[in-house]
Amino acid sequence: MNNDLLVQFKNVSFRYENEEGEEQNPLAVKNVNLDIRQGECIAILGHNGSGKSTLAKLSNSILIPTEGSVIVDSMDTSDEEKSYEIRKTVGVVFQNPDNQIVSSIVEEDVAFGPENLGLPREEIRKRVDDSLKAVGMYEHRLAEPHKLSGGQKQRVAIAGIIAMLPKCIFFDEPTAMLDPQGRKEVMKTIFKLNREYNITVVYITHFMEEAVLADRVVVMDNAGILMQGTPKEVFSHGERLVEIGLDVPQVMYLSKALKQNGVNIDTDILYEDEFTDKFTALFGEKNVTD
Amino acid sequence: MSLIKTENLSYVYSQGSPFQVTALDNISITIEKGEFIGIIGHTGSGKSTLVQHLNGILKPTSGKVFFEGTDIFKDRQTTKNVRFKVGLCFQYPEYQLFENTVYDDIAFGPKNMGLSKDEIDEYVLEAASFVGIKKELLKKSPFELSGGEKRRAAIAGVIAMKPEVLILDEPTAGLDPKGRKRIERMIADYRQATESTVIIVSHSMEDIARTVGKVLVMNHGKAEMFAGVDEVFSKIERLPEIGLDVPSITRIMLRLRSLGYDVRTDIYTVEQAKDELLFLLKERGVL
Repeated sequence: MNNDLLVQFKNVSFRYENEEGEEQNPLAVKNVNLDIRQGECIAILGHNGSGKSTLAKLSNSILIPTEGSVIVDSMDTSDEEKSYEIRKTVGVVFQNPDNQIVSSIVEEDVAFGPENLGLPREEIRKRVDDSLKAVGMYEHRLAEPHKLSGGQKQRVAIAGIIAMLPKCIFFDEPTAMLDPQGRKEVMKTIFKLNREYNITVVYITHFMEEAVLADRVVVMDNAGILMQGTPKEVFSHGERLVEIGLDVPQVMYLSKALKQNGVNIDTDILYEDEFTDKFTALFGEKNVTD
Repeated sequence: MSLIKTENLSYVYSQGSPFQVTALDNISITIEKGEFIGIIGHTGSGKSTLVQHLNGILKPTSGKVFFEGTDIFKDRQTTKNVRFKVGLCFQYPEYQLFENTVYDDIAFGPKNMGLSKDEIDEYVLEAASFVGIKKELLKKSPFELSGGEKRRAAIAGVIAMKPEVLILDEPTAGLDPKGRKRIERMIADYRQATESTVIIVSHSMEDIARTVGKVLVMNHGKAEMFAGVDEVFSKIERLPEIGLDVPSITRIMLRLRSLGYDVRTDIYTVEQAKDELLFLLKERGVL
């Protein structure tokens, strides 16, 4: 069954063009095949320069593949006539919130997209209010964006995308420039959009503790997909991940260190509560066998 | 004699306007020569405002800043000299690269110090080698470098002034794990080689706990704590209350404690946690 397929990368390669006469750039994305289904929550991991951001830009026709094709909801991103429709279907949120905000009042910024769709006034009002509520920024609708925190600004940028009612949102390192509080706010918002609003989300991150929260993790290296699977499957290749400049969650190192010292504990533990559950169970078993 | 000292340092942005904000509130701290200090605090806690006072970019609204016993705002010449002695590298410094070549960018500081051409050359090459920027990259435009290389080139621009104190505001922000580790290692090597005083500003205890000796915790413009890493961790419950992250390993220990297990919570590395948990298992006869 392919009817729930939302975004499909088919043998996609991409090369940034250079000025004439200069040496050709290497491929930024090399022969990528990736199926994104309706409702999925996907994390893309990869070191700087691995091709992650290019992938995000290819998803809604900001960039067009040099080879291969990207199909969004049965539309080919190379079809210029469809680019409007494609960008309504797949939204992209970038790293730096300051570069994404255009208005001097929060609600005007969120209204920017719907206004350009030529929607009736009441519909715009409704979409702006709904979007701001979805990201928890409704109370700040009349605020000036430059007075907001980084996390709040990023949530306004997300509201601007939601107001277009996309089926899928790509987040390109949405938390990289935020403090721990801002990171939490934005990640919470992303999961809420996925779970409560059924928006397909794909987020690119450098933080392992964010990656383990996705349904599926895609690891990029050297412009291609190195591996993908559930967080458990992907992080079972911990050594390989470290080799390519990534990492595994701290809790995994701890379980491995305990195992090496003779403790009977799983070594594929990714979550802190999972660890404490399994660790405390060691005492429970002891009590039972006593 | 202390190297840097602040005395009742306060700073108010937009004083007298309706937007008046007290960014620093009566900070008195002393930093000794050779210390490795981490400053942590939530966004808006005053971290960046504080470090901008230490090299005279900002002038206190009230209170004083001393470098080697001299008030750095005594006269303009003193303030100017302090700028070279206390090197400050801003957040996302790669946005501030502006010269035609990486070499010229790194040389900008030394040129302003009025050094000879040979000296400038020596300072630039040494700084580039500290941050691992290869010689062939020096001829390139800064815009041809990768993100991590740009960051390191920008840091080299500060190191090239051979400051006695190196201050780095969020040096690893936005980098991947490998890039973060590389910068951490680079700072450690630099400290060892030059024996200089280093101050790192960070959002995260996790990033600095492993490396620094002493931590200044900022909260709403006040110096909440200024103590050794272990002492700060002994009051770890306080960190989330002031908007800071607790390291993952520490969170696990806190959770075990709340579940009734008698474990230490002033722990932040895998190694420490492993020892503590093995001890507990043996004590209870599980292992």
